[in-house]
Amino acid sequence: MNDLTKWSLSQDTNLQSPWIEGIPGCGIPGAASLVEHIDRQILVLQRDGRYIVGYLRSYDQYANLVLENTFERFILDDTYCDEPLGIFIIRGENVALLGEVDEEKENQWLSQLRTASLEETKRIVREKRQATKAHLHDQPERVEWTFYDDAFF
Amino acid sequence: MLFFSFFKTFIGKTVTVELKNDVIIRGKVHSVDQYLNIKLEDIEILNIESCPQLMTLKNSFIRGSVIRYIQVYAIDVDCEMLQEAARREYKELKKVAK
Repeated sequence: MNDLTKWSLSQDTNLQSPWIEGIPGCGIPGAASLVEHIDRQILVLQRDGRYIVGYLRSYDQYANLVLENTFERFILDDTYCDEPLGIFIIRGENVALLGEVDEEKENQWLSQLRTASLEETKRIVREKRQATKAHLHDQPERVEWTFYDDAFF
Repeated sequence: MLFFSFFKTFIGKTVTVELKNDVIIRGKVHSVDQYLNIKLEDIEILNIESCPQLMTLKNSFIRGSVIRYIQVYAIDVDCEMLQEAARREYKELKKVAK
């Protein structure tokens, strides 16, 4: 168990992040800079390419995240749709990138797109993902090496 | 710890980060931490067609484990100093080993 009281701002000076008492991970010289995103709407790009949008409520040094009012955003050509998911806890290893959403830019961007039916978009996006996944695992067969270090050879 | 210190010298400088999922991001380094997670400001996605959604971000936190390359401008790097620091660290390690 980490003793949070041991950490202080002085150990954290290189990060130039504000110290907020009672927030786990704050002041730990890990993902400490995420503190600025707390209670803001953030977009998370996961390692598998999915986009999750939600309000960041908590995090820790591994960048495990707790998101509220979460939705997954599906994008297909010039259509998009959101699937509400509620509260989401993302294990840090699956996070590739996260950032704050610029509302102005987002609105401008979404206005160029059409909303689509969730079921249909989800189905097509999932199929596409399956296809790329299959392609990724489509690697050449392993070369079998035989080492004759046995007494019989 | 050498690379942590090294990357700290890039704070405020512009770098280009390529991720393992082929996203390429250019931005100003805001902060770096011990896992080499990097926070960029004023970001620009160089291959926007592969991930149009990221266009809407104004800053981004990149987890160190997904970074493939970091491209920096040569003018920002003092290779001699880096080499010297590497030698120093090696010497110190040897001292500890004895």
